[in-house]
Amino acid sequence: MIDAMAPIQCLWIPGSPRALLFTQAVQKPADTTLVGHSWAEVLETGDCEVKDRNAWFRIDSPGRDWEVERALLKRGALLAADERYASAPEERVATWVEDPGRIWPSRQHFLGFRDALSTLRASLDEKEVKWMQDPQEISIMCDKHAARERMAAAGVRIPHGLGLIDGFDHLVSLMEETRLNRVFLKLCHGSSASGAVAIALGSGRIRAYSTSTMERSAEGDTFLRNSRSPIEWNGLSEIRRLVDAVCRHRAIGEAWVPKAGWEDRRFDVRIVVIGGRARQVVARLSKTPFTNLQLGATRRSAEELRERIGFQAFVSMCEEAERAMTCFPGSLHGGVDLVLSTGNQGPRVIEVNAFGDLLPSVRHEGLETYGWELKVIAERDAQVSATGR
Amino acid sequence: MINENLTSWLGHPVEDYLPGQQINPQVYYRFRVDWDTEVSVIEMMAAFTADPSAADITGLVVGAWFGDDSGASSEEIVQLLVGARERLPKLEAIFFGDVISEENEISWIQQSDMSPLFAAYPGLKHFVVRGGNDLGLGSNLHLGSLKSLTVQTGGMERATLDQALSLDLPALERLELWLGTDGYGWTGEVSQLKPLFDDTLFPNLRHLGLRNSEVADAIAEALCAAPIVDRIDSLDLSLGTLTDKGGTALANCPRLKRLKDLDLHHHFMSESVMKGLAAEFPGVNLADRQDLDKYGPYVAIGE
Repeated sequence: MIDAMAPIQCLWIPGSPRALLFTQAVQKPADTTLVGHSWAEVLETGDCEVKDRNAWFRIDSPGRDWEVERALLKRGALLAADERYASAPEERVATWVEDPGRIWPSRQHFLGFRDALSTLRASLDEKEVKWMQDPQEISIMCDKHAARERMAAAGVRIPHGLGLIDGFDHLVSLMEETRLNRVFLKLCHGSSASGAVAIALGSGRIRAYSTSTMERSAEGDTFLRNSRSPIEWNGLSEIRRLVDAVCRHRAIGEAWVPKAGWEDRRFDVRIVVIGGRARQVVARLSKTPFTNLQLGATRRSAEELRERIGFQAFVSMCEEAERAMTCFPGSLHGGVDLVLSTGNQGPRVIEVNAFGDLLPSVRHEGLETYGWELKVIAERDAQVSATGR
Repeated sequence: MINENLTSWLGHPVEDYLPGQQINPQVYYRFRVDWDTEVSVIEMMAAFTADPSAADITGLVVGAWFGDDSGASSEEIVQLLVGARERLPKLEAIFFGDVISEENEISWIQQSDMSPLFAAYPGLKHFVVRGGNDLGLGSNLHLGSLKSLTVQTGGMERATLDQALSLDLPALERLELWLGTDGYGWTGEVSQLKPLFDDTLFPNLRHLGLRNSEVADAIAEALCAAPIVDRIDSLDLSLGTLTDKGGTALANCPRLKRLKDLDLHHHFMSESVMKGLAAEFPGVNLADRQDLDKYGPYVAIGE
């Protein structure tokens, strides 16, 4: 009576930790199989062959692979026409070599990525695939400006925003106008705090903290490189150069919500929402304004967090994360980052991450994130067959 | 500490005060605002002190008072507290500046002269102030009940250190000074500490903290010959730039062996010097060892 389940189709970087972990997760329920498609191949051939109709399709991050990164930069070359943002023609991209930590023109990369996603969507919609995350929603989540607008329209609590920032002078004038003297500047298309700058203004003084350093390329332009530890800046002219360099990538400004502390560190919370419900919850504690684990933050569990902030506050964080994901109804999962302010005025969503479900060995009710995703799609399939479709 | 607001102090819970709320005399209320809070800290504190139940509170905490102007001075708050002295007859503990690095750069906190507070509250037992800019502590003031004094700065000015040491504090048991770094305002010298080290100032001192200092090595060396260490039970040189130089001096100082507590956490000492210290002082806190890198040693709180 029940048709054999179509294999889950997955677009990923073969051999990456994400691919390996997802494969392991799929092997647990015995009757599921997996067909992998490589990002590199799909970008090369422009095609992703899916035989089965009605299969689940998962798109994973194209990150951490130089060939794929370069292919996306090439693909974005013709689309990156806006002169405000850094770009490079395809021939020049072709000469670039891998340079770990270097932030390549991220707007161009994003445009290539978005184009690849929309091509994929058009071709696979014919096969009636069931998207684990709608490609269009992935591209919105990978654009912090668009994601903020969507969340603001839905009434999700997010920090006060300053919009797209042209450069240092624009940022400072907006800060003065709004009297917002502590601001986060974020790349619209950056992940893991890449390119982020925290800026404080006060009584003629300025200070900034960044996750990247400035370098000069062989061609003579300034570029950014991710740093292993955050950097403090006190000089006006350096901060101006830094902010201008960040804004060349397309950047937004938003209020630097004073994060509540814990163990003499500040913290934020990553909540993975799967199937509309908050599942994995992890607190990240940091001595610096940035709470990313690769920048030295440490983790605390959901139980520890609940104990620390109380049941009510914990629940309201989970609810706010779920509300944020209602802005992405075609996405089975997403990672939502939230902060509690020092004044404890309720949680605020500072980010949604399309690929925010990589939390190996963090279990919620016995399952890791990928296990939850599989469970929820199995439930959805069961519902569909029960209602006769 | 610097990244986390108080949740309790001196055994009392610390809670944010919301105007109009009922006052629980056991709580130490904190007064603070965000950039978009509609009432000011002054208005909050005025509402608080106008409530007759405030008469029973024994401690309070001044939090981020500056709203959207990180450089706004604390002077008005001092004035308000001075004016409210008859409404706060039992007040004996003030934490002035529970401001964490997410709320303001520590070196930007704009303090003011605290001496009017000391005059208005002669029964004060515990006083903490954070932020060194324009901080005044008065000269030669007598505070007969003060048991603990803590001054936390990213960089203490010479004059502030002189003022702290000029206070007449016969009951003082705990003194903690965060001296900081010259990048953020430290203009003092170790020689200013001589009267303190000679034990001529505070006859009841039990605990001495000279923390967050970029002259930690020199302080350690000076302490080895200082009569004060024969009086105190507990010494805290944490958060500073202590290296092998200072650590070796401490390890080779027999008179320090009577200390019950020695806190050196956040330091730049080598494994071998740490071993020597651990052998001399069982229980010494050597946590949070930092690597000497190209930037040289740095204090824990200097921003």
